[in-house]
Amino acid sequence: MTSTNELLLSVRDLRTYFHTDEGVVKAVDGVSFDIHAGEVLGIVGESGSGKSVTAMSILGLIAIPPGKIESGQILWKGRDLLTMSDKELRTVRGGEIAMIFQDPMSSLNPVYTIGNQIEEMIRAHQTMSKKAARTKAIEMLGLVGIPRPAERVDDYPHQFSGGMRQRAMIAMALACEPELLICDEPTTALDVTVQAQVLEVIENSASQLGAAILLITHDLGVVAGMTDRVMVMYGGQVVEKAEVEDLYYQPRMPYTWGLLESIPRVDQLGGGRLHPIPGAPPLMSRPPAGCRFSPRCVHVQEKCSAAVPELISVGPNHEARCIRINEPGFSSNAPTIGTASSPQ
Amino acid sequence: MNDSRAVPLLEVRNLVKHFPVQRGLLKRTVGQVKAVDDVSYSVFKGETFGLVGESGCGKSTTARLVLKLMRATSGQIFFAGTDITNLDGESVRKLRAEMQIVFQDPYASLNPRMTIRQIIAEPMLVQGIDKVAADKRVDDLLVTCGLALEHGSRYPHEFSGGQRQRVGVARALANKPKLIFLDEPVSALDVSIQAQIVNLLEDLQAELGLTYVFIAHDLSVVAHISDRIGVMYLGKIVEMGTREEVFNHPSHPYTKALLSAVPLPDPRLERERKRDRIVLQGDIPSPADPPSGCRFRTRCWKAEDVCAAAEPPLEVPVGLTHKVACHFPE
Repeated sequence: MTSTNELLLSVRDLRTYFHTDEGVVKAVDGVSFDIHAGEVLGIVGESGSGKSVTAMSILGLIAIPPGKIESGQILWKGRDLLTMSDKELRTVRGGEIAMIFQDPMSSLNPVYTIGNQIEEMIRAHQTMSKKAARTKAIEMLGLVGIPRPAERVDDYPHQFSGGMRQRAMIAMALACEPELLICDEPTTALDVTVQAQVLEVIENSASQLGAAILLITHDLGVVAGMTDRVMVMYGGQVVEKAEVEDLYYQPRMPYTWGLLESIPRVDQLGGGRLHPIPGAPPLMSRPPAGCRFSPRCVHVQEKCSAAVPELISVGPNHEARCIRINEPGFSSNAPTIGTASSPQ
Repeated sequence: MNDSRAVPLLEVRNLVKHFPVQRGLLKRTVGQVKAVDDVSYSVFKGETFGLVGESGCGKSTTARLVLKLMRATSGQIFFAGTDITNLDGESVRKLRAEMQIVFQDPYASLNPRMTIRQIIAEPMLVQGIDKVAADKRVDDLLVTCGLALEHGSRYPHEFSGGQRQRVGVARALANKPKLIFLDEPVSALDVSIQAQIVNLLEDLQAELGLTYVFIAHDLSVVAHISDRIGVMYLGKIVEMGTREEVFNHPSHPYTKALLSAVPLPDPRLERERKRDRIVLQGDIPSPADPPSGCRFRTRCWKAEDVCAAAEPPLEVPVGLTHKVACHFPE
């Protein structure tokens, strides 16, 4: 659906390691993916899966040391961000690629007004008079649904509620009309009704500006509603990548099955016991041998710990990482989501 | 389970907690934050009562008032038929053997300088149980909560979030309480681990006949674990009933909005839901200056003049079987 659009970002075999006292932590270990203009790609995973480090690596926000991008390419419209000069990088970062973080309070400067901060962002990337930047800031605050934007533009962050701060962050991120908006757990700190407001604002304003979205979250509900394609990460690696409906209705990797099975649903009362994934995510300073998920997998066999399985193609735009994937009948272990969702 | 003839294990009547808002050098009181404002509910033996609502609605304060971690401004609290509202000192210590709490953050609620064994034994020593007996019970509790005996000699930092929350549960169980408040017990955990803890809590309830008050903002988890549910908004319960009544037939506009906002992990269904989603406008008003009449009216699409003039009582409307505080229940 999106392959005809321009290729914006292409991450190829990215490896971001952290050198700590406990040893080398392979936080991102060979991750590849593409984002095309106007599409929404979701990255799902639990804490420590490497999803945030992937985003930070794209924006050059990894603290070096202890972090280091060991190898790989991050091609933005064909140019490698990893070899770009700081000056070039500045025009891309915040301008063509913008980011929204989880915690809006720690991303806003408490001693400047909201307006100041949006204007600063605009003037860092575009030649614009102070007055024009202010007009633009007010327009952006209006776009993200801040009431009376012409007055609120002079407020300080503490005068905004949590939901309004996140909207101000979105206004700031979108002020330079980015082509890609990276959202790292944008609604995790927010209540569910505020989450609905903020997600609506992100979707509507990004689609008005034609921006692509990279949405990083642990919430499988949010991903189901917003994304075109989804990438599941576990232990620093991509374990499944598919179009959104395929991922939910025809998942192929046992970790994806486990995630889908472990969440209770508000529309299915009394669904009996939950089905958790046993154990805990691996310590990335000492990853398990072979398949990273094998110690927690209920379908594990001896061969699983021999080598890390390849990410192989299992259908159109669908890849998964599991050594047993092509065994006859193996995919019948997948959970069934929804009612009208039997695999065609 | 919800037998109206039985004496509830916990009964809260017209509970109120106001925090003074103080300004200036002399700490003049300039207003009151009405964190909990006239809340009443009962919890029966063996059931799970879910309290849901968004940040600042007063759900956690309610738990802290019952546990005597703070003093209520007014109202009454009955535990197993006895008025415990004005207990203090020694009697509160005795009460804590019967009533326990598991906190949200397993990182902050375990003392990093104590071993797991010391952490779990501490509430028993406080209750005067001798060290040998306490030590023996720690062994049982470790196993009951899915930990290994050798975990006892380790420190909290050596454990994952899920394991720490198991320690929190073991500590709450130490004195064989009848009632446990679970205050966002799985919110800080990854989804695959959440289900482990929810299952553990359900198993313990079945084995030990425990009664839970489950406080959370995640409606999916509350829907799964609760028998009855109370929905709170700005210090008040706005709807209360069995989970089927509240979640399958929500009657208060706020409950409807809350349920409609939950994203479902099912792309086709979720995209349909999104088209009809009730997205509330504006923000939650300040609890220091709540709206007159119905507190939800400033964000309600059904609000009329009567909503500003009169506060709707929490009662069973004609044609319904559960309690709703709304002038126009559905």
